[in-house]
Amino acid sequence: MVEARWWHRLGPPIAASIAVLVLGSAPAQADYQASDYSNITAFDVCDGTNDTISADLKVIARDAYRYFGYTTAVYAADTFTKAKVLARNPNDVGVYVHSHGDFYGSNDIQGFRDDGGDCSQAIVYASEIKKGRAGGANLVVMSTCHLGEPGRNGYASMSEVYGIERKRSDPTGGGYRGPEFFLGYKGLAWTADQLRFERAFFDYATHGKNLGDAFKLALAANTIRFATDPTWFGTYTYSGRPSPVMPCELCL
Amino acid sequence: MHAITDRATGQRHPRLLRPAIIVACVLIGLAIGLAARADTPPGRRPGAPLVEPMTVSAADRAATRARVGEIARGLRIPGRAGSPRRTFHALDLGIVDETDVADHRGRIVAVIRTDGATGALRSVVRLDWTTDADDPRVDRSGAAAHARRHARLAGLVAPAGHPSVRWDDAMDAWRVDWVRRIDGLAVTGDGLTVWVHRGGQLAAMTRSETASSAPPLERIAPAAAAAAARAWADRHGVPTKDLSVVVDTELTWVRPNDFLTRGGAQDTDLLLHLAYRVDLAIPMTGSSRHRIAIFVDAGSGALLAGVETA
Repeated sequence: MVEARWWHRLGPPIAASIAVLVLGSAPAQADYQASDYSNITAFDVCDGTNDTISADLKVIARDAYRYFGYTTAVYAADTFTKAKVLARNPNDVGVYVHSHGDFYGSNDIQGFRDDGGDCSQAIVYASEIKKGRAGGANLVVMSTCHLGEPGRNGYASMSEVYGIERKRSDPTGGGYRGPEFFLGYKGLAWTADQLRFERAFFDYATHGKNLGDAFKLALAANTIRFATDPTWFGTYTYSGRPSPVMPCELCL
Repeated sequence: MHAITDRATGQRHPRLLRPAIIVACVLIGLAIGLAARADTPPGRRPGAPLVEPMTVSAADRAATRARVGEIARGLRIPGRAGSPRRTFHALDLGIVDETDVADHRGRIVAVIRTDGATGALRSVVRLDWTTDADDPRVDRSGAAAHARRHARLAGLVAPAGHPSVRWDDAMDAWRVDWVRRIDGLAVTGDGLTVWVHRGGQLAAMTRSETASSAPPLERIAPAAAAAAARAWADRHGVPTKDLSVVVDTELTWVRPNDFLTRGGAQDTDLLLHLAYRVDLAIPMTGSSRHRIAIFVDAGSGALLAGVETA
């Protein structure tokens, strides 16, 4: 009989611990697509400021979506184009957009601007997103002005075109709406506030808090200094991790 | 090879292995210790972490737990304070302790943030929502009184005067805001906000109070502030065709930031300065406008801070 050395006996528990750590931190599924779009040019070249917020937000969102388990691709500056957004739209279940957002055109349809690397910046309308979608989304963050507001003139709002109705479940799980969460802003959103708020939100959400608690904690964490007004819809108790979504009337 | 014997098991180990393991553990510990900074890191560089973990001494940990316990008892939060997490917030150059309050089952019922240097309360968020919170007992007219009571229970004195009150559907609560004022002038971003559920329970509370510099003895005219902001726009290539420039003649206190100065690092000036706020509305393609607010020092006319909309 061969005598086992003491460090040999550590092998199985260490291997088990490594396996648990690897499995625990690995993406839940490899095929849940997320897109992280950040408009760099609008807040720098186009307005003469020295913006670093867009770049920070892009990284914060990317890391969070990857933590949740989405297969996340990042588009900024000249790679954040309307064509890219619409091409990826049908398969996106996670979406993050930091850009200008507003009600555009004669019909006041919600939309956001692409980057494209110059200041012409095409508008991606909610109605165009709606056309390209076959199902809902899990986690949508519109880090823009206005896109947390209801749609106008009978047009769907930005959350609704992703299948996330403007309703909220409660913190005890009542009114559960499935694995879905939309974060946006009402009125003008000041980017300095967005940076503080979204950093805190994603930090809480990736450290064990559900998205509803993360929203509350982030809002109360001295993050808003310029009257920015974040809002959310969906399931309070949702973790943010991707999973199959329930069908919805508006997005189908 | 020389070997040593494990007294408990009788097994023999290489003589050099155990010291090597000890040295490795010490090095790993040092690396972890360096990651969790004990001292205050310098101002943030662009791309650097916005928040950095810090170590908390045993004495500070005990003091923070006691402080949080006191706040929780005052607010009748049924639970015990856990161990605080200390972080350095690079944008605000401040140290924050965040402590969970857990009930007897270990469920987190509240999160309380305090100032790491002074112990002052920064925020309270209750996470133990029950359906009672939606009982319609408090309306708009009664929300301020409830908010004032919650502030008092937390050891704060709500500022005199009428707060603004509005329903906050994202927090499922009345939002009661007192803007902080110094010599009658509003402080941008400072004040006390209390969210009160319809049932009267505290939903959350946040408080911000920044130290201020002395007000200038001599003040520039509002038109000079507007001119300074317009000159900045000219210098930086902001499209000036149809540019709207509106100066708020009521002065405000504001903390400087790096928005208007190249370099990217947040300004290291911690104090509030008295300033004019000048709003620029830049026409974009279509009918929308991009807005930038510039704060101009009311004494020197220097550009202090700025923010822009998304």
